[in-house]
Amino acid sequence: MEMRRNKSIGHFLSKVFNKKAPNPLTEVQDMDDFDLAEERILRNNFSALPKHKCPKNVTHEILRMTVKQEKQSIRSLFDFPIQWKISTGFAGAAAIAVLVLLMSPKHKVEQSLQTTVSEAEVQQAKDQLKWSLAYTSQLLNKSEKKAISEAVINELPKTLRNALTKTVPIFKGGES
Amino acid sequence: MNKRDYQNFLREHQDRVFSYALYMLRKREDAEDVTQEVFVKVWRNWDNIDQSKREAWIMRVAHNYCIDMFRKKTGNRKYWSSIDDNEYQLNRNPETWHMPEDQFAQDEKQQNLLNAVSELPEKTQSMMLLHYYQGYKFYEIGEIMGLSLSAVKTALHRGRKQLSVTLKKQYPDLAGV
Repeated sequence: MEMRRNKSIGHFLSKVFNKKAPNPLTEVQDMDDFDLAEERILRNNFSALPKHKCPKNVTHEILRMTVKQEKQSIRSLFDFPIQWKISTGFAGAAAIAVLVLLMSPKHKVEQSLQTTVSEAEVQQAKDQLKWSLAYTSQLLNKSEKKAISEAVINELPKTLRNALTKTVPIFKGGES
Repeated sequence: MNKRDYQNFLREHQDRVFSYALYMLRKREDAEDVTQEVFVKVWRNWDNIDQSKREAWIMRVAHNYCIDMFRKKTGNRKYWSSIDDNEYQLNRNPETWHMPEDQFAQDEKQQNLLNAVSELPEKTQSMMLLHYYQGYKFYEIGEIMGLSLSAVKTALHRGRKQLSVTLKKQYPDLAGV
């Protein structure tokens, strides 16, 4: 009787507010007393069922697997094709070699020498080089004349040699 | 991804998923597997799932896993017979431990209820557990199972009728007769 009265109030409210009035037991609006009694019995029966706790080993396993998956996803970021890996390796090796050369002590010595030589010293070195080249050239010229006189003139007959040394100055034994 | 949020979410919902899977599958190992699969899947999709829908999402995944497993192995699980006794002991109310006869009667009642539920179609079993045991509302069950509100109401109405008939016939003490 009480339930029926509640139901009629519910219907009245739903008409007034154009809204379904909530049923205290269930969301089904069109339940009769018999249905409600069944509903109550089922609720009581189900609520008596024990609540099972998730075993700790399952929780640990879940957390372990999530950590594993996280590691795999980080690793997959570096999972390039093999050609990429090879070319990247070569590029890296070349870059390292260039760096090593640039930072080697020999290079540093050369750099330090370059920085300490003055303009005057460079000019002096150039002059010295000029003189030494001229001297070498003169020496070569002399030795050429000497070689000709030794190799050619000495092998000639005496009369021809005398005639040639008188007419061609180069055969006089190194004098030009 | 925030690990702490995930761990809190896991802590908050793992028992719910495990209980649901245990009552659906009636085998502890399978329920453990389902719980594990569900939460690893949540981890993979954490950023893609709308925060407000995460609970419905995990229950939907759990439901789908259970239905798959249920169909594969239903031949062996018609009745609630393989529950682990130790598991029951752990979940008993400590106040009733000193009353073995009462506890025995209670266990028998629970077993009978679950046997009666196991005679329902698999989707109806799932709905009954979600609604009466876990307390989900009709629209939430609709979201979990991918059904309309009216489909859920109709299926639950039929399930309730069928379960009441079974209880009255086989287990009158549970039917309030």
